[in-house]
Amino acid sequence: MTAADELRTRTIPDWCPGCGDHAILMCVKGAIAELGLDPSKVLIVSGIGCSSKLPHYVKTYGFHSIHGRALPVATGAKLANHDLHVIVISGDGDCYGIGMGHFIHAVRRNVNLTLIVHDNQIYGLTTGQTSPTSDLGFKTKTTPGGSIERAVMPLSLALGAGGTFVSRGFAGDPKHLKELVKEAITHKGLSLVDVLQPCVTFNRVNTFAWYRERVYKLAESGYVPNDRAKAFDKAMEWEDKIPIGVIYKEEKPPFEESVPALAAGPLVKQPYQRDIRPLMERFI
Amino acid sequence: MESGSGANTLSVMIGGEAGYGIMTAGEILARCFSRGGLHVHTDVEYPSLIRGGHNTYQVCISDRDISGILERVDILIALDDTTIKEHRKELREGSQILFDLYEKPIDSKKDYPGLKGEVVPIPLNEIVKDRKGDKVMRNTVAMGACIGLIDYDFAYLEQVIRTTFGKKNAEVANANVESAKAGYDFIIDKGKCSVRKRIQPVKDAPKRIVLTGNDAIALGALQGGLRWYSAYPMTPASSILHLMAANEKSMGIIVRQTEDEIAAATMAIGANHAGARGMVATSGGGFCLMTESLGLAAMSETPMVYVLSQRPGPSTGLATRTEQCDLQFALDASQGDFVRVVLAPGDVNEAFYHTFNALNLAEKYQIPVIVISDRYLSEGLKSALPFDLEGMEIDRGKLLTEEQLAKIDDYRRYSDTDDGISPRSLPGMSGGIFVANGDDHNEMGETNEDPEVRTKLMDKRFRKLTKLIDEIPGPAIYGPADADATIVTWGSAKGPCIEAMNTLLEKGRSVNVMHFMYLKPFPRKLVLEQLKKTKLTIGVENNRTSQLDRLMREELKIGVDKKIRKYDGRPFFVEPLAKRIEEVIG
Repeated sequence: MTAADELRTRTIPDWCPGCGDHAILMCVKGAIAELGLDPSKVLIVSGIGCSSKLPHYVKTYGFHSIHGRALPVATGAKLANHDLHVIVISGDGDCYGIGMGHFIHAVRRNVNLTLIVHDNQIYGLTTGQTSPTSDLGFKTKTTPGGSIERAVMPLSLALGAGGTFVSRGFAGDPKHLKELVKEAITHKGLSLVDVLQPCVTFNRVNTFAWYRERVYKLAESGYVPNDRAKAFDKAMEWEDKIPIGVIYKEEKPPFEESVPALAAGPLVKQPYQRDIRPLMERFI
Repeated sequence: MESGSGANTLSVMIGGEAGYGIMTAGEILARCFSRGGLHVHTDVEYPSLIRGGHNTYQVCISDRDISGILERVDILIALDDTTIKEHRKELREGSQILFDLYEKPIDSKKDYPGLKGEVVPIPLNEIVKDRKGDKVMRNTVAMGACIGLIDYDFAYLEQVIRTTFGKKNAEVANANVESAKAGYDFIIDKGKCSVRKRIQPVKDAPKRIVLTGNDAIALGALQGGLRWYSAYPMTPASSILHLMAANEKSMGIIVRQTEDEIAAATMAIGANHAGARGMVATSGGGFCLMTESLGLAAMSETPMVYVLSQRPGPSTGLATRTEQCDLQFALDASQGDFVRVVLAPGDVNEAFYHTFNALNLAEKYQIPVIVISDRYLSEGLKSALPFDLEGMEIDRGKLLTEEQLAKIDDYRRYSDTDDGISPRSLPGMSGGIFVANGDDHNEMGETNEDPEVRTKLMDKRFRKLTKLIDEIPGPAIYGPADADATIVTWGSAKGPCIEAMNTLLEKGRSVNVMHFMYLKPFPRKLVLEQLKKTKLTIGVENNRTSQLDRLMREELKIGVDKKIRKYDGRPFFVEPLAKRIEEVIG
């Protein structure tokens, strides 16, 4: 088993001190280590943004791709070699803004991917613009008068798209988050972990303290995450009380199990040469 | 002498509304002539709608290889009178029009003054009704009548109908054969018309396949070990997706219709990254969405193959027509400077062998490769000898094994090698861990903005050109080695140019064809050598701005002497092209 420390790379995270991203990184490494995953069988795919630098800080395979496209890149890689554990690291802009189309389709496809979204309700790397999850009235450089667009509710969107594992974590509670990430990795199918991750530099509203006042653990409230209708109610809770933990979970065969070409094992392990002559004959 | 005027050359067109079974009939006719040992080449014209509108399928048949579409029509199968109206200009003295005068009694002389050719009446509707068949089966009756009209062997038509409909069920096949036979018998028995042109099967001809450029691209990719195909439907690339999807299981390939072209391309990059050869295909509009992925493939050095089947732009343009309008777009699409290959096969043979080669080049050089086609090549059928698969080797380049990785101490995915190509590990292999990166990076793949590192890695990526350029063939010459005039063309315009050249050679003119298939990296030396041998160069391109000529001027400061362009959404037809070339030569 690899200890979390052994997953450290020589690249030092360049996130701001106190950023919620540090805790998420710690949880991802902890989860990989505690689940005993072979680092060379793990692929972490990210898009663009502060969050998406994460693959550089974990000694596993990684793909730091382009803005909004982490999910499709990960989908292709996972289906090409489903022996890999594929973790997708994204942000609220990356996943719910530019990548929103892929998000909905990835959820309904239910490929066995772990999707961790660093959701800080702001664009950090581009120095503080509004995000799809910014609350109404939220002031940024691009919304000086306060946001006049309703925020996206990612968990309810995932539920509506037929998500089989829909959850929320909080970077301010790494112990809880690590267990959530472990459960998400273990889940067969697409598992969403939306992480409340305060941006200490550009978001002066949704701070650690702001979240701490509001979050409560679903598991401790006696909630059982097996009813989609009830899950919708939980997913819409915001302002005063914000639930964290698994909101909905369901066992369903992941996408890979319905792909005919994968019955013979991972694509990359199948022989390259094939006989096209029978197909060619059909053109006579 | 008229083009394609050989004793055994025929141009048949079937036309009618969408939903009349025009496409099926055209394909069946093409195959039935090919089974008789004849060469066939087809063009399909249809508007962007499902029913109504006006569709045509033209089949050119010859006892020699035929690589262009004739303008003239010898037999016009008109399933409605619009077909006569729209195509009367293509009729010649001696042409015959199969038309249901019983259903719609038109007075051809009065309604279409100056109409060339004779109307051969056939009661398509009545025959179908008598047999209690569906109205759509008029096309089958008409096919039978057409075979009778040229005194061709009905057995070939029966064979192809049985293979085409037999898949569904024998009853449907029987009904179609009987309907075709009724049409055939009507013409033969009534003896109401003279056989103007008799088509004879060629004895002992080799067995040929009849396929579209898209079929050839798909087969070439499958032969090249393609394991992943993702696409978003877009004419004229969609039939690749259909063929791949139909063979997903038997070929052991993953085929995905994605939410958009961005996902199609980035998923394929993911598959290639994990080690499964992946390809995408689209048309210009979809390629716009794919351009961001093109740069990602280049920067992360992930092999990737894009098929760009052109249709006239800008924007939605003419969604179902043809043009060679995206060469310049493909040459420079996506931000930043990077190495890519752009190639444009000229026919189904080149489409097969060079899509195969595209997959090899992409993986050997770890770069994006763009294969350009267009509606004309992608959807037109052509007869060809079955592809010779001997010696087609899949070359995975510097792909490492775990054993090789175990011997490397300090593995660097983007190592600065002499040839610019870095040995590649795949996720899952122990000892090969790295981060593939769309940000610029150092040899390890770590994001890095140091000016020296940037320069070094850019130079590394560009160093691939040194070896790559040796694999890029120069333009091919068709016809005499030396000629007074050289037709300079690229991609799918090859066939029409060769046919036009043949016409002019028969007339005693001194002309040849220079055809470019590989366009980037541009094989400067080889092109200059070829150009030295030319006297008058005439550029022939199916676009508005002579995009190959622009490329030549950029690369060589030499363009063509004269230009022939066509941008009406239709391919070059042989006779008018020959005429225009002759006028230019003077």
